[in-house]
Amino acid sequence: MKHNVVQLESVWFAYDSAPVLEDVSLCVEQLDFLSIIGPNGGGKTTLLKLLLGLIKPNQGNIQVLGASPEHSRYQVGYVPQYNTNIDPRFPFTVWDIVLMGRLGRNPLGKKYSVKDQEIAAGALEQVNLYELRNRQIGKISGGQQQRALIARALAVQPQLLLLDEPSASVDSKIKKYLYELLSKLNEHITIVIVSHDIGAVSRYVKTVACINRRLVSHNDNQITQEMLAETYQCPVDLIAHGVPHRVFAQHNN
Amino acid sequence: MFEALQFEFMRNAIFAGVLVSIACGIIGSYVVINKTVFISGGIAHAAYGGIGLGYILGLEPIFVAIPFSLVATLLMGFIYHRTEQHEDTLIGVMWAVGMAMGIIFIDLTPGYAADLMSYLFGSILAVSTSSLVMMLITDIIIVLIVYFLYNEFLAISFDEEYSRILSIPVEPLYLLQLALTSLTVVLAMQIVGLIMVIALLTIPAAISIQFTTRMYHTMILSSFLGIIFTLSGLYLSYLFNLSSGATIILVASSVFLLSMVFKKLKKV
Repeated sequence: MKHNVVQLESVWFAYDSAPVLEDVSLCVEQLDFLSIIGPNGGGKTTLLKLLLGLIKPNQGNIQVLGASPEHSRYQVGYVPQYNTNIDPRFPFTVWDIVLMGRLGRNPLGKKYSVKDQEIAAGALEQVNLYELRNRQIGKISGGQQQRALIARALAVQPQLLLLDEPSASVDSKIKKYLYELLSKLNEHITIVIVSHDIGAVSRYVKTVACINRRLVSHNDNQITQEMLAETYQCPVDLIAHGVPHRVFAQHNN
Repeated sequence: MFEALQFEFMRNAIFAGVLVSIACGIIGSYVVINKTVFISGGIAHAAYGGIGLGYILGLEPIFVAIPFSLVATLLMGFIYHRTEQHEDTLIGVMWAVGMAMGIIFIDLTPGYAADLMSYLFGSILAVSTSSLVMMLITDIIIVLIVYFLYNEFLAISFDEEYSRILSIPVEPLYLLQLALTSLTVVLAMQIVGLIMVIALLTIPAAISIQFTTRMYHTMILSSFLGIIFTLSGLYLSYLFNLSSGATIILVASSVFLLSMVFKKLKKV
């Protein structure tokens, strides 16, 4: 029997007075590959931050890997949304960044061990970035930076991987590479991504959750027109890019 | 040139320059990368309030300036960190207020108190042994702390949010960095003056960042550059009978300009 890696029960959250998440209950099974979709401002990123223990819910209960988020996050790998804030002047190499993933398990002030370095090297190999490990992080391409951040998350040796819009700023070739990498990782790691990319979602992902302050629906990855309309609160026309695949469920009547 | 080294004050000046450059090279690297240059300026000027307070209390100014500066720094850092937008203003206020407090306190102190100029530009040619000892101790403290917390400091500088996820105590470490900055500024100020401390914190690091890919290289190069600037500035000021502090700053900024030109040319 698969147990739940993530469990949210009646979670409410508001930054100020307006609620961002209302009464969300959600379970993620072990080795699931879940995509959370929904409109901007609908609470997707907030949900990730709750899972990471960066913020606490106003009401409700969150369990990650059987414990509270703060206690389990040393086993959670997180890949934030690509931001353009990485200053190209800064003297940090890819290697420095990936090793940071090991800090969660080391006490303060401890130097990286040989094992830490082996794990970091392994993570870099998994994303095919080992050759670039001595390059400055700000001087590689956006897609390579994204891979470096994934390697940082993998260096944690996580049981759960959370990604926020992993394909937001990359072109379709890298997108394909990214999702295939994630599928491969999904053989051992539970994955939750926040994504606008509905096309890729239905191709690679196992489960879909639609969130717009409330959990609108949560089921396997057939995204229906109705589901989207309810989530986005307006009729949505889907445009599928690139690889042709079925985005709409067949309407069997 | 070497006849100058006969003079003890000259040897002390060189020693002082080296010690200050090491502290400023290491701390300055963090200041430039973390973009806390403005806070550091605020700390430096607010520290003058502590100097003045020391005079009016009849105590050794530096021993009052250190805790005064530390408190002001932690306050500024605490607030700046929580809400980054408008607290720039608060730092600007503390900057001016600290300075003004210092001037008024000194005005009110009976008898002679060191004037503003010596704290603005320092007195590297008249540095006391106790200042040298304090600077040496500060250097040792800085090197030890940076050595042990190097990885954590790097993580915070790169990605603060991620550091929280890794359960790194972000706020305390950030305040520790500011506290070290405060210590460096106050002690170096005695030796090389307030204006020059800011220059030594920012210019060598700004140059080094253009040529290094790893943080500890940046720190080593910055310290080294600081030493070169200090020694050549001292030499030039000796040759041409100019103010030592100002000469050192001009040497540093000329090299900075050259380094930017060099970088631009290299791209073409």
